Amino acid sequence: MTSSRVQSILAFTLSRCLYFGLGISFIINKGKNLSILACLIGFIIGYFILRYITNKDFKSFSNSLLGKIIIVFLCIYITNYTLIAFTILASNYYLTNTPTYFIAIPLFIVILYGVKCGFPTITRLSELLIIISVFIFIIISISIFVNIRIDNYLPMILKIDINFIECIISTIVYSITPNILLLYIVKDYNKNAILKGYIFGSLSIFLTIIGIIGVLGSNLASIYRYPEYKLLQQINILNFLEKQETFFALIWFIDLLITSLISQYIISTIFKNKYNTIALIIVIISLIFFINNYQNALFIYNNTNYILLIPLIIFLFIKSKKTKSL
Amino acid sequence: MKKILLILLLILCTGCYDYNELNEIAIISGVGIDKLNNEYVVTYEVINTEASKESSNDIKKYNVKGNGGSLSEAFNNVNETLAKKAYFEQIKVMVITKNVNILDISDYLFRNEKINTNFYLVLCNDIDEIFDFTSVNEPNNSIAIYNLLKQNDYANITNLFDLKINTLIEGYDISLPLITLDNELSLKTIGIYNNNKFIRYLNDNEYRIYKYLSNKKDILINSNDNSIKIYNSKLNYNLENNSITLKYEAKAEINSLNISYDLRDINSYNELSNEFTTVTENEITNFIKQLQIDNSDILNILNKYKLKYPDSSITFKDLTINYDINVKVDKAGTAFKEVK
Repeated sequence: MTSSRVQSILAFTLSRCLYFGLGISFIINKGKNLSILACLIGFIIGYFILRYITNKDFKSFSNSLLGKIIIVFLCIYITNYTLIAFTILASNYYLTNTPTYFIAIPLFIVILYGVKCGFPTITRLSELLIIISVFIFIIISISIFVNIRIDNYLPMILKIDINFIECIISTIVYSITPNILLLYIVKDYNKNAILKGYIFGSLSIFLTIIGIIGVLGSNLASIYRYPEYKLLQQINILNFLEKQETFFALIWFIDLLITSLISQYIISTIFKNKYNTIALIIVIISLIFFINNYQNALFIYNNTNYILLIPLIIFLFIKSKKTKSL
Repeated sequence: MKKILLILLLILCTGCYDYNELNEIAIISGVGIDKLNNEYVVTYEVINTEASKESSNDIKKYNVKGNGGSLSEAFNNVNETLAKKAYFEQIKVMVITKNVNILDISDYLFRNEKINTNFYLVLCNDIDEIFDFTSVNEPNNSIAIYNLLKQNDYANITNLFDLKINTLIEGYDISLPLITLDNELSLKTIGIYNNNKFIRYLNDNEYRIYKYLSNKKDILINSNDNSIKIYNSKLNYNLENNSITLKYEAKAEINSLNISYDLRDINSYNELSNEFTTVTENEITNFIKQLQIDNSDILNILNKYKLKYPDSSITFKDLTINYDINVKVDKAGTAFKEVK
């Protein structure tokens, strides 16, 4: 039985996981200054969607073939995304000469090892890492928010166009869809615990977007591949602790690690003995067709919101239908 | 066995490709960029890691120079001249001349993952003169310039290279400090731009006015041989009925007096406040009028106006600015009367 605290922690992490290298950059580029408002609307709508979903019981649907297909697809997609986000950032900023294989494979080995240790180990790890995550987030918030310039938020003229709508939809998808994995893995989930985790996760992303636009401005933020990482580069604590972005980026790596551990653990429970082969196929496909192929990596960047909207809609639709029949 | 394999893989597979010994890298503390005859000239100021701290005879830094038709070509040429691998993470300042188009050099600097763009952009007239100089106080000129910027309250996040470029991208005007060599490196004025185009350097008086408008402290204002020192100031803009009012409020301390005033009497403070308010208003009005003639909105006045009236097509030159200046002299220092 998974405790409410662990469920909140996992919901917090999963609500944030798709924003690094993807969600934040995509939303700011589309929404510019209005992305703050779009995110707020998206998070509020997302809250009601998650509340609706968590009212349902997924036990029987999870055991159905369609349910398993959707879950496996989600797990593979999210693992692939985490590997791309981690490897591209590492190869851009840290290990510029190292082949991407040598960055992605050790990470995947860690994931495999975590999966072998089992779900209790993953939850214990997330309980430990969340403390570091929260600690870093508080330091970042304090040091960044003093550097915010109000002018960067202006002009914020409400213009409801396709980009604004896309920002709202993307926010909902990025923060809700990964939580489906939690509803699958934790059979006796606590609705309030998950919603609590979602609220804190969304709030942290919302504050991050406010920080990015307030410090960098939406134009500059949309130029960067990783605006959230560039924000970390601006941190200067009391004029002596600077250039600590490598350490502060841990907050994002923790999200990616826990998310990929959960995704892979779910695949291991579905495929059981064949898991090693499946895991090998996933990492090979990810390396050859996505990490080392910029067109496909860009496809993921541009279309994740629509691709992950499909399983979300199916989940909503199937569940509604089933409730009616009952 | 699995655990041993795992540990081995983790140790062997990460970081080795990018491993560099400290004495194999050239730590660059500052970069100079000039454009002469359609060619970029790039100069690195490199910290000599071989120099010992104790020995004053050791050369603490050296310069490396190269040129090229494009900025990337010039950077590549300098890198090839270096015997070590260039390391750009510790750049403190980038010195450019007025010939350099800032936006032209930005793309390369933003895109290059090896260059940390958290540095300050400064102007100079002659890069060789600045980089070849060796100060007694600080042998590394880039660090000396950085210290100068800190001393002048310039070294803060809003003046970092990235954020200066952001101002340019958004279509606004910038100013950059000018570093000159006057026995020692010094910062005596700023260069003003109309967006990306260099206009001119401010004269001493204009730079003084600019400093107090930028809320810098301890700036002197003189009138009839009396002088005050601003210790607290605030610049705001009031936007009403399609007009902008520049509201400047300052608190000042008497610096020196040459006319008889009894500072035990409250009226003396009022008289001084009125006198200096008039002087400051004239200074600010003339300064901003000159900026309007130069079409360089370094105080971001038009930006404030456009935030309230985004549909307006008015230019900075044509903007009518009202002034509401108030200087309050409320500190006498340690003497109640002039010393004569």
